[in-house]
Order: sequence, then structure tokens, then C-alpha cells
Amino acid sequence: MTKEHEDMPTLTDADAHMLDQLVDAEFDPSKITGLDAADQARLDRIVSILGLLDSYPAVELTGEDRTTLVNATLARIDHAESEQTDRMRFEPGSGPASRMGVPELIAVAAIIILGLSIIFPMLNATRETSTRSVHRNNLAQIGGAFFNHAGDNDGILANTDAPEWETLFGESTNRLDMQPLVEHDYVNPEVAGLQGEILWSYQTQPRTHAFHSSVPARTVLMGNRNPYMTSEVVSQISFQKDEVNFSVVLIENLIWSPSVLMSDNSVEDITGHAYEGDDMRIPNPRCRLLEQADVFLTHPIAH
Amino acid sequence: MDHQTDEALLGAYREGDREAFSVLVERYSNELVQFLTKQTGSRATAEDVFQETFLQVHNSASTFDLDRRFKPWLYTIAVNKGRDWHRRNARRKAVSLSANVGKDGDGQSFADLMAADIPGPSEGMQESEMRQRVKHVVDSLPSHYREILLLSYFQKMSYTQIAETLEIPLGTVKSRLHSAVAAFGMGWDQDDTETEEREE
Repeated sequence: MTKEHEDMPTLTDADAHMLDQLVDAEFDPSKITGLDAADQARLDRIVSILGLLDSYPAVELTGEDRTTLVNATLARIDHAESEQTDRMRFEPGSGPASRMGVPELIAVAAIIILGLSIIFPMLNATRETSTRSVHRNNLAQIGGAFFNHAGDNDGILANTDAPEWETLFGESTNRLDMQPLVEHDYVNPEVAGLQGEILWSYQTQPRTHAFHSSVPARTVLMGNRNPYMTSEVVSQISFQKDEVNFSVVLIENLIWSPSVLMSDNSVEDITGHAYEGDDMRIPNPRCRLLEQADVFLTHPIAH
Repeated sequence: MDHQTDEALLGAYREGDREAFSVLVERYSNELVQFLTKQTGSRATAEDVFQETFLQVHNSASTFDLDRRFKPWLYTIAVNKGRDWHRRNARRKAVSLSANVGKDGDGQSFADLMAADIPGPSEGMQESEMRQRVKHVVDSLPSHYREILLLSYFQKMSYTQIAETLEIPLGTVKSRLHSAVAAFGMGWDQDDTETEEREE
């Protein structure tokens, strides 16, 4: 039972029943008929009690009162409407807090644009730095896995069948692949970026390539996609040097930032490197031994 | 326009007809001010609450379902605005209504109106004094009793309409009106006794 029900007074059942009838009759006792003497007396008492309410001081509005009240009500609504409109409207020069003309607005807009032009490059630079940091860490782990695998397998780099290269090189060959590294727990698949699909491929270069002379380190070249597998390859150049086949593939709209995995497994970014523009050197598939090839790692700086 | 239903007037107002709203305000001015005067105990307050009520009607007009009846909705707003006023001006002293006037001494008090002693105006009471005593007793009732008594007796609303207006169950409407009438009867008796004591 609620607090209200506990505390409230109430009528006896007989009175309550009679009151219900009276409500149904819109408080007109003449509409209630067929009562016995006791019920009639009960009805009379209820009517007389409620009849006291008729003595409540009446409020009769004169015609003038009503007109005044209606006008005051409509004026109040108009006032509330105009206040709301004022809050929603921005009018230059219309109020002590917003006395701004067009020149001031232009100046404010210019300051905002200037601020954004400073902030956005900073944000991009920050994001790029963060991405580069993550990639460098991943590359260090991947590169270490690469060399560990070679060390455990008589110097043979991780490789897999690459029949798709047969057209290019004129023979069935292998290509270096991250999959064996992951399968044999040399590297965590999340670090390797393998999410059910092999996106990474590894390429080797002979130690005689031009880049080797400037960076005395074992290196792994890694792209986040195989240029032969993408439609973004726009051209390629093949040549032979020191009896080693080279191919340079031009890839459009990709930004690459090569890194070099040093002998101590550290990673160094290459700036002003030998590879100009968006090119990538395609490995000679015969360089499958670690002692014969450097391995390059590259990573994209933006996706 | 005066012959249009409330719902049609509100619909017209929603379409931009300000005159329709003016007719609606005019139509309920006398009735609602009377109701609110009894609810708040003051005509000045009633007129203020009346304006707040129609301001709310204006603000919520777009959400009103025109298939429903306007009057219960209007009274729902009016009652709530009246309650808001009471909350802001909690100056009314609560009057205990649990005096033992019935058969049970504990908990609920049952009033048997058969035993009530209701002197009529013909027994010598001046009319103005009578009005003031009735006003005093009604104004002293808890607001939820006063509301239901006003809606029922003065506005002649059915139990169903009251339930819709106050947004409470039908059973609660009945029990609350029973209690309101009992409380009024008890309040009247108590006031009568106090008056007699003062006269002695």
C-alpha cells in the first residue's frame, strides 16, 4: 500500500458507491432514482456536502477582463517567441556582445583559416611520425625473423613458389615470402600484417647493387604490395648488370619510404636514397641465399 | 470561426492561423481561470498560470495528436502548471486529514457522511462568511485532492476524463475522489468546530 493510501481518509463503501453514482449523473441527483430511504438519505447528505462547494467565491470574468487576459496571453507568447528567435539569430552589430562588422568577421575567418593551415600539417606530420614509428618497430621484428629463418635453414631465405613471375623471368621461380616466417613462428602474424591474406612480399637484391655501396648493411626490401599484382604499375624497365637481372617498376600514386634493416637489426630510414620517385626494384629471384643478397624493407608512410 | 471545434482551431493555428489560437484562448478564458483560481487560491495567480498554460499549448501544439480531444490535454497542462506554481510557492501549510472521525482509529480514517453535520446557509451563517469558510477548507486540501474535486465537481468531468487529464489509473481517480470528498467533509467539520470554539 502506498503512502498516499495509508494516510488518506476515505468514505465508507456505501458513501463511495453513492458518490460514484452521483459522478456518473454529473452531480444531478434527480437522475438517480429507485433508492430506498437509507440510500436516499445518504445521497442527500453527499449532495449537501458537495453543495457547500457552490459557495466557493465565484470568479466571473467580465468581457473586458477576458479581452485583457486574452491579449496578455497572446502578448506573452509573442514575447517568448521573439526571445527565442533572438537567441537563435546572429546579427552582426546587434547587441553589446556581438558588435562585429564584416571586416571583423573576415579577420576572424582569416585567423581561423591560418590556424587550421598550421594545425593540419602538424597533425599530418604527427600522424606520419606515429605511423612511421609503428612500421619501424614492425620492420625490425620482421627483419630479425627473416635473418633468424635464414640462420636456421642453411642461409636460405624464406621463400615460396611464385609461378606468376615465370612470365617475367622466363622460368618458374620462387619468391621471398613472409608466410613461412609466420607459419614457423618467427614473427607474430599481427606484426607481419597478415590478416588471412598475404599482402607482403619480400624482395632481394644482389650485394652488387648500387645501393649497397652507400649503406654497408644487410638489407631487406619489403613492399606492402607486390607491384606485379597491382594495376597501379604504369611501366617497368628491365636490365642486366653484372649478370644479374634488374627491373625497375614505376608505381603511380604510392608514397614509399624505404628503410634499411642494419646488421644489428636496427632500422634506418633512407633519405635521398638511390631510388628516385615511386620506383621499386624487383629482385632477381635467383638471389635466394642470404649470403648472396641484401634484403630491403620498405613501408608506406600513408595508407 | 467561433463554431469550430477546439481541435479544428488548434489545427488551423498549426497551419499559421493566429486568429484561431486567439479564439481558443478566449473560449477557455473564463472556465480555466475559474478552475485555476480554485486550484491556486488566487485569481491573480490563476491568470498568470492561465498564460503559462497557453504558452505551453503554443509550444507543444505541433506535437498534439489532432485525433485526440483538446480539452483533457489543456487541463493536463493547466493542472501541471498549477502544481509547478505550488512547488515554487510552497507556502501552504499541510493540514492533517487523519483525524479520527470514523470507525477506525488507526491508518485510514473512514468518514460516514450519514453522520456528518452540515449546517446550511439558512442556519444563520452569513453568505460571505460561508464563502470564506468553504474557500478556506478547499484551499487547505492537499493539492491532489483539490485537483480531483475541482475537475469532478466543477468541471463535471467523468472518471475516465479525469484519468486522462491527470494521467493516472481509473481506480486511483475513484479512490482519490472518495478521499477528497471525505477530506472535505472532515475539514468542514473541523473548521466548524474551531469556529464554534472561537465564538464561545
